[in-house]
Amino acid sequence: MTKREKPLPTASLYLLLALLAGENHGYALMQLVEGQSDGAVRMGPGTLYGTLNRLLADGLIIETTGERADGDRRRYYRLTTNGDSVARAELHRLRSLVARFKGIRGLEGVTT
Amino acid sequence: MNRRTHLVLYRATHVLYPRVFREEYGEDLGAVFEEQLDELGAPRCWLRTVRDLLVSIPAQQLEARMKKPGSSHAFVFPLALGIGSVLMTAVIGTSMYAVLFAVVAVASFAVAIALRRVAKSAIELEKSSPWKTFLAGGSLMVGGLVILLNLPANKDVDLSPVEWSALMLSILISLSLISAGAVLGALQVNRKRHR
Repeated sequence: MTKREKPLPTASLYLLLALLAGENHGYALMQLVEGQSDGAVRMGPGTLYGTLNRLLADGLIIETTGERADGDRRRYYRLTTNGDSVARAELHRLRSLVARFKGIRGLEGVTT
Repeated sequence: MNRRTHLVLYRATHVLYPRVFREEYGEDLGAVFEEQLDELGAPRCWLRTVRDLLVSIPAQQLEARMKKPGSSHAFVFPLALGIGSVLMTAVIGTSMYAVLFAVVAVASFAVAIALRRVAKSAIELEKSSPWKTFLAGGSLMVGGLVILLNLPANKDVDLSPVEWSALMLSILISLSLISAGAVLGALQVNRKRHR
């Protein structure tokens, strides 16, 4: 299903997952990632734009600057079809990983 | 310190990023920094920013270097010759052939650097494939050998087996390089014709 074999690096994974909710700009994505990871992934501007640049180069996201009617001049990003399937495949992989540990005694609270 | 000073300080760090990256994202980096400054306050914002700079600057520099076309192959040949001359010196002692190898290694390093300078952009650099370096390096070696063998001091001198092997090896390498350059050059010309 996925066109990408290797698991994504943490920053890329969280940014793709944040973009599953729809297009957004850099700072909002940074905040979304921090919220979604319970504060575990705190990106700075350099890491944020470095990762976005790599995702753009890999064809997983595209820039939508100039398409907005509200006059906002910030760069917005959204998932490409490939990016969307990669993000969903990653979610599926994580879900399978959690499911695999469900039967193990002592991990009930962690895997539910 | 006011907001503008913080921003000027942060923008000053952008010089450490690769030029392409800071030209593309410089404005955005500044805008996100300003938003962080408003939200977190200066001490927390700078703490996070310094951590980010320490991670993202080396990462971007490394990525930019890996993306540069010809960054590795242009230097493989002179590097190989350099290693070859060191090995030869270690095996047979300081002989004229080891010195010759070292001279050619330095000369071909100069050729590789010159080719990179001549290429005004990354695209031009990509076009100037390694065949020119191979041809130049091989020709330099042949030229050096011819001069060396025709020196009055070297005429009618009996070569030891080790020196004879080194001479044969040098001739073989130089001719291989010229052949490789010619084949790669012909392939490139052919590719251009079919475009």
